[in-house]
Formats: sequence, structure tokens, C-alpha cells
Amino acid sequence: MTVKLMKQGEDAVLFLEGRIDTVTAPEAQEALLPMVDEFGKLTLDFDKVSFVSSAGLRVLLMLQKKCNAQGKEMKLVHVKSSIMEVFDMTGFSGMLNIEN
Amino acid sequence: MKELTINATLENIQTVTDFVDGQLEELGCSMKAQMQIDIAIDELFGNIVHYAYNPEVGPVTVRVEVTEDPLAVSITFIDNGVPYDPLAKTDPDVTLSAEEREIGGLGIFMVKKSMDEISYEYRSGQNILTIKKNM
Repeated sequence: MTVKLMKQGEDAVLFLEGRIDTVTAPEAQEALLPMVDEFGKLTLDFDKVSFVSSAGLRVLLMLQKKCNAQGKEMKLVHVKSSIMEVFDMTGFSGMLNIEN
Repeated sequence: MKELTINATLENIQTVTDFVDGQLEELGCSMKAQMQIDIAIDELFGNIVHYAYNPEVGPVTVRVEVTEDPLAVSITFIDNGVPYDPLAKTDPDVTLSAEEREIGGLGIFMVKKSMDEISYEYRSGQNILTIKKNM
């Protein structure tokens, strides 16, 4: 899994690519959580994310919790339908801010 | 029936996924069902790595069986680690907001929801977990 950062003033767009699973979730967590402190609004671009397992959901939940605690906004864009099914099944589609 | 015996390490999740996906593709499995099965492999094999064996590493046998009429695939995970029943966990409340939610418990919940059958037993020193998905 890779994360590419594009700064937009105070805000950040994070382009994620690959699988967010049991193997890659620790590195995703390490890369993404500090971004909440560093930036205002976070946009996670899921266009090139091919797979999200429960380990990936845990990272997203941690990120959302941290954003909420700091009063910051986070949104996901370009989520594939196969990954939307995972979000729907677990109630994440109602919990996260997803724009497609 | 096809079987793979491999060490319980996180790196081997990909090997197991490729092994199972190869057989699903032969059956003409839908992309949706394949992703659900891949999520189940990530969860169940990951559990064995983290809970059945950790910190030592032991073997896991992954068995794929196809049954017909109706067409279905059963995948069995067998390990010799400490007894670990993932089905014993209570389901998380998926209607809660981010603040109210606990981190964890979602993996086995997804497996239960997306598979047609799931069973666990501890027999002769082995954890035996089987999932079944109708094609």
C-alpha cells in the first residue's frame, strides 16, 4: 500500500493505492494518523484502493475518531462499488463522509 | 479438494489468497463473492497468526472443497495453536457513530454476514474453522 500526499494550503489530499489489509494496516496507520495533526481538512482518494479488510476499517475508524476529537473534517472520494459494499455491510457508509 | 499447508505468518496471507482465488476463478466465481472470501481469508488467517500461535509460528492447513447442486465452496482453516473461537465474540453495533464505536470486532462480523455457513470446533488439539459460500 502506498500513500501520496498533495498539499492544498492548510488541507491535504491523500492518494491511497493498493490493499489496506492485515499486512498493510499498520503502515497505513503510521502514515495517516499524523496527517490529522498536521493538516486541516483531509480528503482520502480511494480511486486506486483495491481491497479493504477489517484491519483497514479499523484504521479508518481511528482516523475519523481523531478528526472528530480535533474538530477536523475528513472525507473519502472515488470509492469503488466493491469497497462501498464493505462500508455498507459494516455501517461505515453512514459513519464516514463519503463523496462519490 | 485442494490443500495447502503453510506457516502462519502475515506475509503468507497473500499466498493463501492467491491459492484460493485461483480455484474460485476456475469456478467462475463472481468478483463480489471473491472479495468477500478474500476478506474472510485476511481475517481468519490473520487471527491464527495473531492469536493461535503468536509469538511462535506454526503450520496452517487451508483446504478448499467444491460441492455441487447448489454449487458452493467450503474453505477450512486448521491449525495446532491454542484454542481460539472467533465466533464467540459478540457482534459490534454497526449503527453507532465513530465516537461510540469500539475499534475491533468488525472482521468476524463481516465473515458471518457474507458467508452462507460458518462453523468452529476444537478437536484433537486443532482449531478447525470452516466457511461456506454458495456460488
